[in-house]
Amino acid sequence: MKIRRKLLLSYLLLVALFIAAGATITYNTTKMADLQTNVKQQVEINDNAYAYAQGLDQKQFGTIMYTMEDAQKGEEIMVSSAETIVKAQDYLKNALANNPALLVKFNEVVDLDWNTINPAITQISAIYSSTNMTGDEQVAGIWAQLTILMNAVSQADAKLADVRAATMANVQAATVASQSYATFSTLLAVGFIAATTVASVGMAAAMGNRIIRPLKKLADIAHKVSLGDLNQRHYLKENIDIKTGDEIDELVDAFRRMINAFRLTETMASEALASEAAVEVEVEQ
Amino acid sequence: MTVEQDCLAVLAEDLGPAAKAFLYRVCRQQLRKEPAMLHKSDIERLAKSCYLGVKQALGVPVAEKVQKSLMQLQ
Repeated sequence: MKIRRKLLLSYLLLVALFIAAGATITYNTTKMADLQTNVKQQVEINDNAYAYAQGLDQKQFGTIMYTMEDAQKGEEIMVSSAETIVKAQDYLKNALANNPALLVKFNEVVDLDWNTINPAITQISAIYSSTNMTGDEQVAGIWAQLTILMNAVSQADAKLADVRAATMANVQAATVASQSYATFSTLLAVGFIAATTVASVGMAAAMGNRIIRPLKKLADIAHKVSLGDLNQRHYLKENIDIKTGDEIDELVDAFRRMINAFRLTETMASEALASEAAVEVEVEQ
Repeated sequence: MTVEQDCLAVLAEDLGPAAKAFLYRVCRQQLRKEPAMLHKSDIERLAKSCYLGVKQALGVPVAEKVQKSLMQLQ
């Protein structure tokens, strides 16, 4: 494999590591964003359940005020509470659509509101404005209806408290899950940095060794050959016979060929000198 | 390609720039002919002569390799 291809492969390995870590962290971040959206919705459900409970309490307070102190002020409070309740109810009906257990519980609250609390208020209003009843009968009737109303409001409050507790539990679970995703992302980032560092240093060292070591040996041999040591051919064969399969191999082959040429030229020159000397001896004789 | 060029190509694989001078020397001294006049029938003798010449300078392994490569030209 050529050096360029080896370097490219190392680079691609690092890129693959980056992509894998990036994809995992992105996935975690998306999950955390989903969890945050869920937490936000749960908090809103909690707020609206609280508003609904407040509305019911206002309605009860307004009814008591209507019957005992100030009918007009009581009516105003009841109207205000109805607005709060309707708004919270609309939101909760939609938001709890994908949570059947909580929706059932909330529907029980709505049933109490519509089938017990509101009829009791209607009854109280009717008794209060009745002209056919004596004062004692009115008080007894109103008190009986108030008792029904207060019991129903208490039951509704308890059920809404259950809804709120469930949403808080969901918020806590989502928070824990979000924290675990965050912890995993942090660990992954740290692990990725460590893995990338180790891989980079390892690959750089390996690639460096594979390229630099034969080159250093070749440089050493070239130095000796340049000083006339043609026996480096043997050294080259024994020590640089490294099959890296890249340009280093080609360089080693070329170098070996060059030393062979030097050596052969030197031998041929020596033989020529020897034959010239022999001719001279013959001439002298 | 002529036989001379084939032989030079084979010898250059191991002898590099000395191949030409070596071939000329072997042809003139051992075969008593110019390299340009080489025929396929000369290759066996040429291979043997090259083996002896290369062995002296570069050792048996290179000499054997050169001889084998030249013989493949036949």
